[in-house]
Amino acid sequence: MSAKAAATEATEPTVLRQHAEHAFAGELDALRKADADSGRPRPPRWKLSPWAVATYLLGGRLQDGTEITAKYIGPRRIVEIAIATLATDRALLLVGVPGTAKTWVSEHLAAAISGDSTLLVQGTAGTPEEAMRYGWNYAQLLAHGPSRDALVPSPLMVAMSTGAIARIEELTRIPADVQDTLITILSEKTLPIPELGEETQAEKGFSVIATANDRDKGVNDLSSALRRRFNTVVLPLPATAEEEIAIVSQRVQSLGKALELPEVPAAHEEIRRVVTVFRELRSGLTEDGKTKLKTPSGTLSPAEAISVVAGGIALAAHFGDGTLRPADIAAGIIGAVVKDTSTDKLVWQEYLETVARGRDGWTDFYRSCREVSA
Amino acid sequence: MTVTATPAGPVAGAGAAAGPVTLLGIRHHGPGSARAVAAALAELKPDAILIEGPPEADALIPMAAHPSMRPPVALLVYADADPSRAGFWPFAEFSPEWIAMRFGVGADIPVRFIDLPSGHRFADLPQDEDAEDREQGTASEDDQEEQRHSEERHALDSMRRTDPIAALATAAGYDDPERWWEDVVEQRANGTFSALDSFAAIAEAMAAVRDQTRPEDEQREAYMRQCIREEIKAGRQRIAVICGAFHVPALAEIGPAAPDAKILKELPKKAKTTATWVPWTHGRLSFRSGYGAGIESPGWYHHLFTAPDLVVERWLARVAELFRAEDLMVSSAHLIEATRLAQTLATLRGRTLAGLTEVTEAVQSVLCDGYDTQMALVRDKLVIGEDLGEVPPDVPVVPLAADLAKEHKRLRFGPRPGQTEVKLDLREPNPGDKSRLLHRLNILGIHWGTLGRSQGSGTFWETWSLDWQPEFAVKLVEAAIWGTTVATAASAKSADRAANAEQLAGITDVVEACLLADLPDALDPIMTLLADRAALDTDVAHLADALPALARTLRYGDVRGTDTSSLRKVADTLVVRIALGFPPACSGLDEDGAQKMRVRMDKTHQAVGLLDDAAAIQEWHRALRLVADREGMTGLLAGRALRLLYDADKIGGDELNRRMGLALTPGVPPAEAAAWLDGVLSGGAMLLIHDPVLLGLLDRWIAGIPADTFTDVLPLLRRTFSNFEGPERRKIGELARTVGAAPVAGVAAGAEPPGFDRARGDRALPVVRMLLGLGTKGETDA
Ligand SMILES: Nc1ncnc2c1ncn2[C@@H]1O[C@H](COP(=O)(O)OP(=O)(O)O)[C@@H](O)[C@H]1O
Ligand SMILES: [Mg+2]
Repeated sequence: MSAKAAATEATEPTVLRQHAEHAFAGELDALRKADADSGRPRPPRWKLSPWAVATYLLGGRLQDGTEITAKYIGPRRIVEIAIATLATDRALLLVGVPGTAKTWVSEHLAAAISGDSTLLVQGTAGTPEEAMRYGWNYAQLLAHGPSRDALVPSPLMVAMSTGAIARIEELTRIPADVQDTLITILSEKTLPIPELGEETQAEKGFSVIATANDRDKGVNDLSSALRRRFNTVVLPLPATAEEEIAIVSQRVQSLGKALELPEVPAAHEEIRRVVTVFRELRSGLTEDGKTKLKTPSGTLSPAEAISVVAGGIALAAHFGDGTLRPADIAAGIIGAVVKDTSTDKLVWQEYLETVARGRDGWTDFYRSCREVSA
Repeated sequence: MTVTATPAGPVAGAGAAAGPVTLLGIRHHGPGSARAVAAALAELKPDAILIEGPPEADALIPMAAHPSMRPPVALLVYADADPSRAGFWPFAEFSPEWIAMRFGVGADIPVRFIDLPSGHRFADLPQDEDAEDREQGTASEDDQEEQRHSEERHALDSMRRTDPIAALATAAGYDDPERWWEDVVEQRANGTFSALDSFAAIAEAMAAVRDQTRPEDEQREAYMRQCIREEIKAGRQRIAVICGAFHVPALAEIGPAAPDAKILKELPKKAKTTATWVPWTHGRLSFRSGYGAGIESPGWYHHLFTAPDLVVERWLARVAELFRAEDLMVSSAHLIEATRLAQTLATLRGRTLAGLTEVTEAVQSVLCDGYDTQMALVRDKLVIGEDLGEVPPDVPVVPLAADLAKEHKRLRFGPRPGQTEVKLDLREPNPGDKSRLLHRLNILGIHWGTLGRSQGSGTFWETWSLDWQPEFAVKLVEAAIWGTTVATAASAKSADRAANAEQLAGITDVVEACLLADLPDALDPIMTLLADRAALDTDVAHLADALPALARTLRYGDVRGTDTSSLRKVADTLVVRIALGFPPACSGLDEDGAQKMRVRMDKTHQAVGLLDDAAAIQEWHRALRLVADREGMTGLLAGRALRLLYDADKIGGDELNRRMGLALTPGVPPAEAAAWLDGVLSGGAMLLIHDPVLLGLLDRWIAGIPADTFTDVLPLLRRTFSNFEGPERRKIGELARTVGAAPVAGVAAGAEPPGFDRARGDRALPVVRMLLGLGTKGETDA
């Protein structure tokens, strides 16, 4: 990272979690310059060229030497399809099991394209129609009657009028009738305001990134009419152990910085262990392909691996000897694998006794886990 | 500018404005090259066409224009002495060589192949392609990283050699070489540039790409130059040479003839060969062939070749048609969005035209909700676009192939692309003959049909899965040594296999195959042979291995109405001799030998059952009893024999209990007892589940094994139990929990037998649980 980029990122140290556009302001600046230098075209209202957005997400080194960190570690084509979708002003739907970076990718795309990742609607069973359209400031409304001043626009409406990317999280959790509002917005690109006899028209650059959980299928399945408005990209679980280790290491490192945890050495070995346990249980097969395993009910996503390791590092830093040890991750792993149900417990016991036990270099880990379970 | 060559010296500096030779360097199976060749030939109006291909097939070239010739087809050249030494040169409709052949035949000018005759390669060693494939297939599994790196390097190197135009495209950031061709080569060819000029540009680029050559390249190119010299000498004015782009630099300089003649003189003497046309498939175009590496997406290439314009839009329309036929909803709005996405993706990747990758990604993202479940359909039906070519009926074939073609016609039962299923009622004449044909072809090594598992005994139905492979053309030539019709060839090959069978089982396998294939002529001498060999063979293992096929034949073989009485006689004597020899063969075996013998025992037992002959069954049971009873028998086999007798109701439950008690007493070494137990228990846990007494015996025995031998016995026990199904193990586990309460050897429920040491028993319980797959943690007082 260039000195300048580092400086920008060091200016706002107090909030617990910065928005992507602030946290990576330096990188975004450098990319903007790189665009300008090479005269790459930008779609209307985009802050960066599609190429620069892709580089921002996938990482790389710019001509001026600025190192762009990889935000998303995974197939390049996924990111390219996502960006190309938004460049054709189509809405983008990211689906996948929990913890596959749907929210994360959506935030970074919005930050890179519109310079603003905060136009966000959080989908829940209680998401009201106002969250998609607009609400009213009732004091104003009563005092002066319906007017633009009394109208409180939704993030979606703001995105339309400013030509920005709006984000919708967990689209499938939103009640079907509220989802329908979105169909009009995406197909007509206008939002009527019958109370005022007006409408808001979407400016160029407006689009929507929605995320949805694969496992939620059937909760509020998207209507085919809504589905048709989206290009869909499935975010996969990491293809290889190395890829997953890279994801976890990188995220743990930046989380550690944000939480001001002291540097903890020897993390690599434990990260590999966590990833190995997760991948083996997820696929129901040991790494060497020789032993079949039962799979637990949880997803064991990279995100959970990240939190197991981050938790372990906090333990090691504050209560341990400053080095990440098997004992620091044992409880975290068990917590992630054993979710309440009794079958998970059995799955874990079997794994511990038939796989972990006796594996080279796993003795301490095995012991630590036994202690936790006991 | 055109690339020209003169008999003496390189193009540049030769001074002559234009020699008689024009080199059209193409990409094999490249639709772009095919279009360019068509345009260049029309422009050039050659008076002779020379094509990279096997000269042995020169006489077959005119057939390319035959009205009933339909690509994909391939030229097959094989060595007469050993037809398994063969080479294929496949052509699709979009192959540049195909275009050139048809142009030449249509224009009535000489067309000839100029690659090195295959006869040289067939002369001694096996084909080099095979050697190369083997090399790649057997790379060690260590150093995977290192291997991947070297593979990548190897892939790039070999791409420059086998598909240099794809290498150029890759260097330009294109992963679809044909779209690169359209974008870069054809755009330049547009308007002011001619197709001939684009070939000149390719030739220039090749001079830079081509760095390494192999000895075989030099030999081939020496031959090509010799052919060109001959045509120049013959006074041709405009010679068009269609060859892989890789060879162009080597042909641009014709040079003096002497060095080439020397290279060719050193080659091994040509083997005698025969050439013919055979039908080919799109799928097979992806294989390595005489034209080097194959292509992965023949259907897409076909599309690129035939679509007049709007390549992406027309492709997506075909995808839509395909999906709609499967009742999947696709709207025109979808297609518009998919087109836009494909195009934008290409732009993002710095490509002017969207290639197959972009189009495929757009289909998945826009039409398939991001999932790849339907993409396999697109791949099979469109990207590969399975298609089976046709050759005219009058292409030269071996008599055997001609007979098969007649059978195809007579039964209205010919090869079709892809996999299909047929169900045949053997009582009907036509299906019966189809079945005969399939069985006979299987004997000849032409596995067109795979017989499904039979649906019960004595059925008159057969289910076949059919999958015609173009390589069967070679197998047919190979099989031609056996006879001139499918039936006679199958008979002759069966007789030969039986005569050369090393063991008795080999003969009974042939007998079974002959009956299924209805080859009575072959059967008689083979039966005599079988009887003779069976009488002489003294190895009980051989006899036992031969029985199952015989038993199956006797049981199911009569659907064809063959007389099997002589076969039954052989089977009966076989059983008697097996029964006599079996018990002595069951002692003094090591573990490996014992396991093999156990399998043999089970199979023989099953076969004897199939024979359904009271006398034979009695003989066999007598033998089993001897094995089960006699001292000194290998434990595993003694236990197994006991179990088979028990299952056959020859001994009762009480007797089984008694024997178990005996076998599992402290006097017997635990390892031996465990092996015995394996014999009794393997192949189903019902015994233990239904007989609490047995389970109790087992439980007590395990608890009583001394600590120092326990670890030796454990793996054996684990193996026994791990063969049970999961639910069975669970059930046994549940029962084991209450086993203390079960009436063990007459002890009342709840009461402890005299001398029972509960504390000691408890110590063993965790191990029992583990054996039963219950996990180790648990309430010890359950
Ligand atoms: N392939 C990946 N590359 C980078 N980070 C990843 C990847 N997969 C998961 N993560 C990390 O996992 C965490 C959780 O991801 P999130 O976006 O909340 O998942 P989702 O929304 O899919 O449930 C994020 O911190 C993200 O950085
Ligand atoms: Mg999320």
